[in-house]
Formats: sequence, C-alpha cells, structure tokens
Amino acid sequence: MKAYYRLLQYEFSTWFRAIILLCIVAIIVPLYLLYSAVKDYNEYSVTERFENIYASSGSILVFLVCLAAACVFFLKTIYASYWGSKSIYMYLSLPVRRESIYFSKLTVFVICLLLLFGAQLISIKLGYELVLSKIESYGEGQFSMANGLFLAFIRSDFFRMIMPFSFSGVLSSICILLTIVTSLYYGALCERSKRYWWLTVIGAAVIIVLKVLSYRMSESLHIVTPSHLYPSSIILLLISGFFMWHSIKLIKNGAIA
Amino acid sequence: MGKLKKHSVLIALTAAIIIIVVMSTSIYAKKDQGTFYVRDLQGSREAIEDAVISGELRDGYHQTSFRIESGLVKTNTELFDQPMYAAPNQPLTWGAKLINGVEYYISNGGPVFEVVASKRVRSAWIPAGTATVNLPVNYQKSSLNENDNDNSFTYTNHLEYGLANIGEKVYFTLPTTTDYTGNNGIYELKFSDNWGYRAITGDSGK
Repeated sequence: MKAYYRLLQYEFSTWFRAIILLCIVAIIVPLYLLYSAVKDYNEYSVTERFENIYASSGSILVFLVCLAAACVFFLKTIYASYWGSKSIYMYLSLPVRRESIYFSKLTVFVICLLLLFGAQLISIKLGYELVLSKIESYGEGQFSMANGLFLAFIRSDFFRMIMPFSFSGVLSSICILLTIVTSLYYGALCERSKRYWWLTVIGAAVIIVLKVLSYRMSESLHIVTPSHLYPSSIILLLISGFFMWHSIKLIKNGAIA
Repeated sequence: MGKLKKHSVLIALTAAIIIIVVMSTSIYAKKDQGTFYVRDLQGSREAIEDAVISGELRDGYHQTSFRIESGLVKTNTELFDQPMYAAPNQPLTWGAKLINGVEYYISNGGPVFEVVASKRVRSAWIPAGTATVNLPVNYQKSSLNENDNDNSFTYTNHLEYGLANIGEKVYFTLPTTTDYTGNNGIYELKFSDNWGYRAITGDSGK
C-alpha cells in the first residue's frame, strides 16, 4: 500500500500544474461567456432561463473541451514513458506489484476529473450569481426567477448528467466516467503491446456510452421508468471490469515494454 | 509547505469530494425554497379558517404539494426520479373533456352522439374506445323567424359540459334548451373497441 501511495503521489505531481490550469479555465471562461451573453439585457429583452443562457453561451462546450484536454494529457503521461527517457523500463523494474502501477495512474486520472467536476460546479454557481445580479438590476427585479438555480439543475439535461439526483442517474454517470477512464488507458496499452484486435471492444463501449448520453439528453420525451438505465449501467460496469482485468494482465506480462 | 506538497494528492481528493458534496447538498436543500404564501387581499382570513385547500404545482421534473389549513401553508417538494413530459391539463379543442387523464371527445350532431375516449401515448392521443348515445329527444324550433329554416340544433352549453364522472364511470347527458321535447336522461357510457358499434347505454334515469 505504501508503494501504491508513493506512486500515486508521484503521478499527481506530474499532473498538478495541468489540472490547476484546467480548473482555472473551467471557472473563468464560462464566467466571461455568461457575462457577454447577458450584458445587454434590459427591461425589454426576453429573459431566458438560466440553463438556456448557459447552453447558448457555449459554456457546455468549455466543459467538454476541458474534459478532452484532460484525456489528452492522460494519454501524454502514458506515452511520456516511451518517448525520451524510456522510463517504462524503470516502471516495470520497480519492486512493486504491477497492479500498483496501473491503479496509481488510473486513480490520479479519476481524482483530476473529480477536481474538474468540482470546478465546473463552482463555475455554474458563480455564473448563476452573475446572471441573477444582472437580471435583478433592472425592472425592480421583477424578471428574476425564484429558486432559479435549483430549477436549472433539475430541468436541464446537461446539469442532470453532471449532478443527478436519482440513484439510477448517479449510477449511470459514475459508470460512464469509469468507462471513459478505463477505455482510454486500455486503448493506449493495447496499442503499445501491439494487440490491435482488442481495440474493437473499445468500439462497443463507445457505442453504448453514446447511446446512454443521447438518451439522457432527451429524457423527458421517453415514457420509461428509472430502471431503464440499469441494463446499460451494468453492461458498462462489466466492460470496465474487463478493461481493468486485461490491462493488468498486459502489464504483468510485460507486453507493454 | 513541504509537508503539504508531499501529500498533495490526498488534499486534492478531499478538496474535490468536499466541493462536490457541499454543492449537491446545498442545491438539494434549495428544493424547499420555493415561495408559497397566503396573502390577504380582501376580507378577513377567518372566513376560510375551516376550509382545507390543497393542491400541487408541478412540471415534468418535480412537484410541490401545498396544503392551506387555518391560514397556514404547508408545502412539500419532491423530485421525480424519472422526468416526465408535462401534459397540459386542459384539452386544446372544443368538444373534448379531460377526465382522469383520458380525453373524451363528443362529436356534434344528430340524435345519436358518439363519444370517443383517447389515451395519451407519447405525445399523441390515440383513440381507445367509443360509445354512442341515442337520445329520444326532438328538437322543435320555437322561434317564429321564418329565415331560420335550417336543420341546426342549439344546446345550452358546449356538449362536453354534459360529461361527468363518478369514480371510474363516465356519464353523459344532453344540455338541452326549452325547445326540446322527448326524454332526456343521464346515461352511463360503456366503451367498446374502436371499430364496431355496440348498442348503447344504461338506463335513462333522471
């Protein structure tokens, strides 16, 4: 366990500057976009709901760009052991269990994504305060929606994906996160160990994740029960488990060297 | 500072978890911050002291049930696990009435009236049953205006106002004017499949 913790700490120190930069971007840029979306609001403009302002100002795209940048940086930390100093050999010759190498990289990626989610939530709250103060500044505040942040979180499909309030939603979001994380690492390991046919399983995972995401973006138009998400969550959990098991097997064989 | 840097991953993990938990509990707590209050506009509040007024305000994602009892308002907000399409409570066409989530549409005409019951599937109304009522009434135009020699009927109200329900049973009566002769009654509607007419109803009682 101590070896795992030391590896964890070392991996995080390589991530530290990147994730702080991404969190700052995730907080500052949507605030600026929201400000420029509402700065011309006056008594005669049509006041939109907060979640519509948030979507149309492009702040959702900022979150997706930060997520993609975090994924690219994760791949870079994996491939950095093959370029330059070839530190993969050092990794494989460390007196630690091979699982610790796998899990330390994975855990650091998950922790950094959690930090990104936290930054995103802070940015939504600050953005709401900004929009609310702008809307209340004209017309004696009669245009402000009571309890608007709560209503935005339960009505908007995007907010319901990053902060679901039902058990099936939470389970589904966690499974999607886990699948993204494990499939990225698995793809890199398959490519490094030249086992290219296993990449097709990643294709299946991508299809299922996309179907779940497209269903959750239009949830109110389907007449289903909450348990509709359970089969896809279970399949995603099984696929993530397979990715984890096969990745550890590849590392243990030394096939990635 | 060195000690902090040595354990920065644990600090980052706890910071992330704390932020997510605090934000989600604060937003979930906001569900009780909707504004519901009773404001006295005219008269005195004691007049409704014995009455209990209750209802619910909802959209597809959550509902707030309120209860006004002896001047105090109690509310209870709950989130739906599954977002639903919020169907409007009022049918959008004349001739149709919404009872218990099923829409009843009366076609206008003759002494034989057809009532079509439709249920909502996704966002469309699909007919689920038909019932016909054959009323032994005659319409006698008592106005002496010779220009009115068309075959039109008049009723005291729109036809769907003659529909009512007690529990699960739906009843129909014709909103007649004084120009009618014959027997009117309150008919219990028995619905059959869409194709095939069945003979009608129950007894014509008063």
